[in-house]
Amino acid sequence: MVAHQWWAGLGTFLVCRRWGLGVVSSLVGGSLFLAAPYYVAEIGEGHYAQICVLSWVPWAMLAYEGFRAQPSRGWPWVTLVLAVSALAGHFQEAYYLAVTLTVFAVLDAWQEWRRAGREPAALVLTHWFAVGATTAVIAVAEVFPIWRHVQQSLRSSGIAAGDPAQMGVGMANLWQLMNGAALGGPESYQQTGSIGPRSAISDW
Amino acid sequence: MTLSLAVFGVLTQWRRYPVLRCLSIWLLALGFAFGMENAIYGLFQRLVPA
Repeated sequence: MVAHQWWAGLGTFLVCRRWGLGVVSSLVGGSLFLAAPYYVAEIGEGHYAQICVLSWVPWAMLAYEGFRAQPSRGWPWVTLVLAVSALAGHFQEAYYLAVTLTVFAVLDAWQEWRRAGREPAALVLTHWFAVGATTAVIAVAEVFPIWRHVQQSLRSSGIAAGDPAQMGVGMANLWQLMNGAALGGPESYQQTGSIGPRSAISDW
Repeated sequence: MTLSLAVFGVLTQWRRYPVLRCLSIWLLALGFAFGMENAIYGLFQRLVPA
């Protein structure tokens, strides 16, 4: 658990340096990443798998910068990091990371198309497709057993749109960004799935 | 504190890569978090695996 904090902080520091920030700013960046409410909440709950996946997020961003500079040389590194992240034990975060980087790749392809024409843009998209396909082949070892298991569980039909309503945040929770106790404290907690106006935001 | 730094960074460095795309992702995530009342939640609820 501790080693993954260092790994996440180091990765954020390096990606900040890659983006041209100074040493102090990069140190602040690494520290803030580790202090993010989601990260702290996962540590507090002892969700080890989520911590493992999250610690690879800044490294994926760093690998993506290599891909962005030269897709033909950078794509194996992005693939490696995404695959390790997908195999780390909690697929959701790896999925969000892949979606985010795919949006980045499409944006970069669009910028290349405007700047240099169709061929460089196609180069970006082709190599990104290689990233996706290779990552999917590697990640199937993690995803297929999960998929098979879910088919046999009560949640095989997924979650209806209204189900998470009680656990989700609402407009009133914006006050908690200014004051964590604006809508009450720990005494407001009732039970899992019924937490009233209180949300994860108020914890931190 | 973190939010203040983020707002300050966006306001002063919005032209610098990758500030705008990170802001877009953040806004999308915020829209999802405050879902149930907007289209982003409904869209993600259909696209993102449960």
